[in-house]
Amino acid sequence: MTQPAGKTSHSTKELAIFQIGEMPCGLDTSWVREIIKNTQITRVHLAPDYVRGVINLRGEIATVIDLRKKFSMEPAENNGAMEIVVVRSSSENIGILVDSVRDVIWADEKDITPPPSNISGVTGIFFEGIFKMERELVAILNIEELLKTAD
Amino acid sequence: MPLIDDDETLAAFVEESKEHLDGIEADLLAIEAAAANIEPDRVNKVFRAVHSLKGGAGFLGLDKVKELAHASENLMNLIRNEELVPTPAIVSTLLDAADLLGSMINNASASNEVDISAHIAALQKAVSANLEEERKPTLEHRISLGTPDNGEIFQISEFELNATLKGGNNLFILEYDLIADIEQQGKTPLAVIRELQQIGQLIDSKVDIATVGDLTSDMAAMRIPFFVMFATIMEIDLLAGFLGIDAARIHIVNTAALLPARQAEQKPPPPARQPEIPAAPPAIHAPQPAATRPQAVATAEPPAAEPAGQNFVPRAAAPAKAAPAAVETPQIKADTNLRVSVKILDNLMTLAGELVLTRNQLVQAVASRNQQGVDTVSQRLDLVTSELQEAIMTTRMQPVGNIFNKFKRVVRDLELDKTIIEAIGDPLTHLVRNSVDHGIETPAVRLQNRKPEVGLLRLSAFHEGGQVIIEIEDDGAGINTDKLKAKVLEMGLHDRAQLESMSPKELNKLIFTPGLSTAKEVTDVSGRGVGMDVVHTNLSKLGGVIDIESSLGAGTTISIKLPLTLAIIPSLIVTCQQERFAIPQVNLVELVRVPAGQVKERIEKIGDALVMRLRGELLPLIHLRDTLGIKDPLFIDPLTSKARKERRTNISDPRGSERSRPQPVAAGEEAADRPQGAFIEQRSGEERRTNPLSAYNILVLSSGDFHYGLIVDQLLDSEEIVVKPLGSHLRNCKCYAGATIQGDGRVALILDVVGISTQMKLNMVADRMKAQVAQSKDEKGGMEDSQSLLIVMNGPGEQMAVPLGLISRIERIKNSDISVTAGRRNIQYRGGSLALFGVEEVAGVGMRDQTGETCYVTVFPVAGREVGIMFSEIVDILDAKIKIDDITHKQPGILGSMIIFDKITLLVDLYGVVVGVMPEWGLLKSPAEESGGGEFNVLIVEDSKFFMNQIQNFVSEAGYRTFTAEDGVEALKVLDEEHIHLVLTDIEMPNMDGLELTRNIRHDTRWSSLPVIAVTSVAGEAAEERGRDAGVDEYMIKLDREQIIAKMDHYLRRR
Repeated sequence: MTQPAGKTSHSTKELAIFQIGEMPCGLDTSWVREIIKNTQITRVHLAPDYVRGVINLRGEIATVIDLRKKFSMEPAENNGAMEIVVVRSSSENIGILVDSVRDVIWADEKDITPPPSNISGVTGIFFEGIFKMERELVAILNIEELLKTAD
Repeated sequence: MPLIDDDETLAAFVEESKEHLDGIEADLLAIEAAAANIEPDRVNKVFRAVHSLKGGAGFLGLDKVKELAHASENLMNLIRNEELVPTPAIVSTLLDAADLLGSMINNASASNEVDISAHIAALQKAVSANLEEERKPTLEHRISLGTPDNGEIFQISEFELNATLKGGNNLFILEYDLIADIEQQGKTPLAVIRELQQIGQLIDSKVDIATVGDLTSDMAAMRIPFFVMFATIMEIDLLAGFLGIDAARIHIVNTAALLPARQAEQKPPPPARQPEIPAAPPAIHAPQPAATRPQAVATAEPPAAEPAGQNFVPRAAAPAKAAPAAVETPQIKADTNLRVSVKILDNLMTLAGELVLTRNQLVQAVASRNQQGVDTVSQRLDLVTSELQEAIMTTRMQPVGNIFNKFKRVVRDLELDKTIIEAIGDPLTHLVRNSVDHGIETPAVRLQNRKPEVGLLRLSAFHEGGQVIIEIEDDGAGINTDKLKAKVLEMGLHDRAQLESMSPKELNKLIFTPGLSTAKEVTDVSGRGVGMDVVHTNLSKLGGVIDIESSLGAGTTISIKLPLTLAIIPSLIVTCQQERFAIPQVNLVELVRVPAGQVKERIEKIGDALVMRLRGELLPLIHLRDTLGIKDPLFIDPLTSKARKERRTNISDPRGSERSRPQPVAAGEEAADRPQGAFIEQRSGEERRTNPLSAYNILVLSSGDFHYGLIVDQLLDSEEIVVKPLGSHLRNCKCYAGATIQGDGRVALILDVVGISTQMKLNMVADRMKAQVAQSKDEKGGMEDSQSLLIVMNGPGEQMAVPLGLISRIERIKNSDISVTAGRRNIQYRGGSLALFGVEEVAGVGMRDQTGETCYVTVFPVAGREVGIMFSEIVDILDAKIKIDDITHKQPGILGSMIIFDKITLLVDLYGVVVGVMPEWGLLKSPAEESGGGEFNVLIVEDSKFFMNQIQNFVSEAGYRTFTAEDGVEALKVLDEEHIHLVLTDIEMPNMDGLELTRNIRHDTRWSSLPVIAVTSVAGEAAEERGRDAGVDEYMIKLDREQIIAKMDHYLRRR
C-alpha cells in the first residue's frame, strides 16, 4: 500500500501487519530487515521456552522467538506455514515467528492510541499502541520489550 | 551530546579521569599549606592531572569538561611557573573546579549541559588578577591557528600561547587520520593522547567531522582528520619519527608571526627549521563545485533500494550530510591495495556460498519446471544479491563505516584481543616464572658453569605462516631429560619402552604431564598450584601448539603457536535424536563403542549416576539426550535410520526392541562405523542386544581435570567448522559453545564440553567414583582376572579372540599385496618381509573370508622374528572377565573357547599356529634342556584352571619340572616343602594374592633371592609398579610363552 496522497503533512508510520493467532499485530517497518518462509529451524534444547530455535540467516546464526509463547497463546496447529520476520536488535538479527505476514500499511499517528488498560497485564508491556484499521484493531508491538532477554 | 558516541572509550576515559582526580584534593591542600615554598613535583602532578583530563575530554567532545580543565590548567600553569603564589582563595577556586570536574565526569554524557560559567569566571579572574597590567590584554586577544589546507582549526588566547612557548617549545598542529594513523595501527585515540602528553603539551584537539564528506564522496580517499595543537621542544623530524606520522602532516606554527610585537620583542620564538607555514587567517573556503570532487561521479550511484532503517546507513550520517565538506581533503595517492577487514571478507565468502547455493536451486527449479520453486528462489536470489551488493559496497566504504562505528570496532577488536590476551596471559606468566625458577641457575652455579652471572630470558612474538608465535627463551640449565624420565617412570606414567621410543621433543614435552615436577622443591615463585599441565591445557583450548627445544646446560626455548583466528576449529559431528551437534576435537580424548552385549560388564551405576569401565578406570557417563533434557527419546535404528520410540529407560537394561529383521545396509550409507555386508548377514535375525550395530557410541571427553563419557546416537564425520556466536537469548545455555553452519545450510549447535559437565555436575560424580574405586580396591579379594581380547572374524561367521597383550600391533593389508614364496605367504613390509599365517592352516576351522579387499594382520614375535596371523575383520577390543572352556574346542592352534556377544568365540593360540606350521621355530633352547632337563623346579601359582594348564604345558615343554598351587597360601606351603628355583605367579588370586605372596617370599631369608615372575592378563604401569614394590622381578603377560620362557631362562642362568 502506498502512502495516501495529501496526508504527507501528518506524521505517519509504516507498519508491517501480521497475524499471531487471532490477533493482528503491527510492527514499525524500520525494524524489519526481511521476511523469510520455509526455513529450517534448528531446535535449541534447554533454551528459554519462547525461543523456537536458531536459523541460518545467510551465514549468520539468528535466534527465532515464538511470539505465541511470548503472548502465552496455544501453539499453532500447523507449524509449517509460519513465517519469520527478521528484525535487527542491537547487534544481532532476531527472527520472530508469526502465523502469517499480511500487509504493509501507512498508519497515521493520530489513529494510534495507547493500549487500553485492560491489556496492560503481563503481556501488556509488549504493546506500545493500538492502531485502528477499518475493520479491526492492530496491536503495535513494542519490539524492544519483546526482544529483551530474561536477565 | 558528546561528539563521539562510543561508550567503551568514554568509560575508559571516565575511569582514567577518576584516577587523576582522586588525589587532587589532597595535593591542592598540600600546595596551599606550602604556599610560596612550592613543591614542583606536587604542582606538576596536579597540572598533569587536569591536563590529561583536558586532552581526553576534548577528543570525546566533552566540551564543558575540557573548558573547565583548561581554565584550571591555566591557573595551575602560573603556579607552576612561580608567577603566582597559591593563596587559600586561589586554592579554593581550584578545589571548586576540581569538585565540579569530578561530578561532571561521573555523569560524563550529561556534562555538556552543566553550567560552568561561574567557575570559569573565577578561574580566569584568578589568572588575570595575578598578571601585570600590560599582559592582561593577552588574555582577551584570541589568535586563530590552522593548517594551509584546513584554515582555522584552533583558537588560543595570546596569554596561553605565550605560556605554551615558554621553555623553548615549538608549537605544532598535528594532523592525524583517525583511520590510517590510529585505528589501523591498532592504537586507541586515548592512547595517542597519552603518548603525546608524555613528550609535550597537548593544548587542544579536535576531530574534524566536517571534512569527512558524505557517502557519495570517494571512499578510498576517506579519512577522518584529528587535529592536535601540540607544544614540545622536539624538532619536527624527531617528532615525526616519534609519533609515526608523516612529517608533511606535522605543521609547525610560526608563532612569531602570530604574536603581537610586544611579545616578539620580549621572547623571540625559537627558529623554525622547516619552511615556515604561515598560519592561515580564519578562512572561509567556498565549497568547490561537486564535479571537481575526486571521483565523486563514479561512485555517486544512489544506494540500492534499501529497506528503510537498514542500519548500514549510519545514524550520524545526517550531520555529515548537513555539513558537506567545507574543506576538501587533498587527493591522496590512490592505493592499489585495499585493506578489507576479515569480517567483511568472511561475510562476502558466506554470501558467495549462498549465491552458489541459490544458483543450484534455481537450476534445479528451472529444470524441473517448478514454478513455485522458481518464485521462491528468485526471491531468495533478490535478497542474496542485495546483500552481496551491500557487502561489496562496504568493502569500498570501509572508512565511512568506520567513521561512525569505529569505536565500536576498536572496542570489539580490543575485546577479541582481550580474550586472547587474558587466556594466554596466565600460561605465559607461568612459563616465564617457570623459566626463571627452574631454568635459570643460581648465580653461583652459573659462574661455575662459565656462564654470565646474570641469566637471560627473552620473550618474543612474531607472525609466521598465519600463526602468531610467542617464544620464551632462556639460557638456563635446560631440561634434564634423564631426571624427567626417572620421574615419569617412578610415577608410572609411561613405561621404559615408551620412553625409549620418544623423540627429544616428546621427552621435553613430558614436563606438561599433570602432577609432574622435577623441581627439587616447590618454590613460591612457580609452585603456585598451577602446573605446566594447566599451561598446556589452557593453550590447547585456544588451539595453540606448544613446542620445547632444550639442550642440557645451554637453555630452553619454548615456542607457542597460536592460530590467528580462533573461529575455525576441527570438530566431530555427532547426532542425537536425529539432530546434529559438533564437538570440538580439542576436548575429544577417544571414541569408545560398547556393544550392547557388553553393557552389563562395562556400564555400572553408582548411586543414580552411570559410570563406564575403561581400561580399569571408571568414567562418569551421561547420555547427550538426557543432558539436553529430551523427554521422549526415539530409538534410531542403526540399520534403517528410522526412529521409533525408545523403550529402554535404563541404559544398563539392554532390552531388545521390536526390531524387525535388519535391512541390508543401504548403499552409500554414511555411518562412520559401517560394517561389512557379510557381517550383517550373519547377524540378521538376532536380538538387537547382540547386534554390534546397536552398540553405544561413547565420546570420551576431557573436561578440565577429569574425563567423562557422553553417549550419542551416531558419529558422522570430522569437519573443520566455523564457530558462530549464539544470540543473546541463548547466553544462559551453558551446554553450547556456539553454532555452525553445515555444508547443507543447516545449523548445528556446538557442544560445550566443560559446560555440559558443569551442568550435569559430573565433577561430583567423578569424586564419588574415585571414592568407590578406592573402596572396591580394598574389597577386591579373589576376583577373576579380566582379559584384554581382540575379537576378530576369520571364516564367515566364525568369531575368534586373540589375547591383546601378545600382539605388537595390528596392520591392515591388501589381499592383493600378499605374495607366495616357497609355498609360504608373506608380504613386503617395512623394508623386509613378514611371514603370514592363517589359523586354518593348523586348526580345523573355516577358510579366512577373502571377499574383502583387505585383511588384518596381528603382528607378534616368535623366536626372535616377527610374524603375522591374518584375519578377515576386526570386531572389537574388550576387557572382560570371561570364562574359558578349554575342552570343547581345544585343538592345535586353538586354546579354547568362550562366549562373547552370545557367540562361541575361539581363543587363538598364536604361538601354536606358527609352530604348527613351522615346528623348527618352536624349538627353544632352555637351560633345562641344556643341562639335561628336570633340574630346575618351577612353581606355578594360578587360580584359573585354564591358564594353569596353559602355563604348565609350555613350562614343562621347555623342560622344567613344574609344581602348582592355586593361591598364595598353598604356594607358601609348596615352597616350604620343595626346593623351588623360580616362581611364576598370577597376581589376582583368592586367599593370598600374588603381591602378598611375593612379599612373604621376600621376607623369608631362605627365599630372598628366589626369582619371582608375575604373570598377569592386565599389564598396567601402576600394576607393574605395585608389583615391583612388592619385590617381583619381572612382570609378564600370560600366554606370552616366548617371553616367559626367555625370562625364566635369564633368571635361571643367572643362578
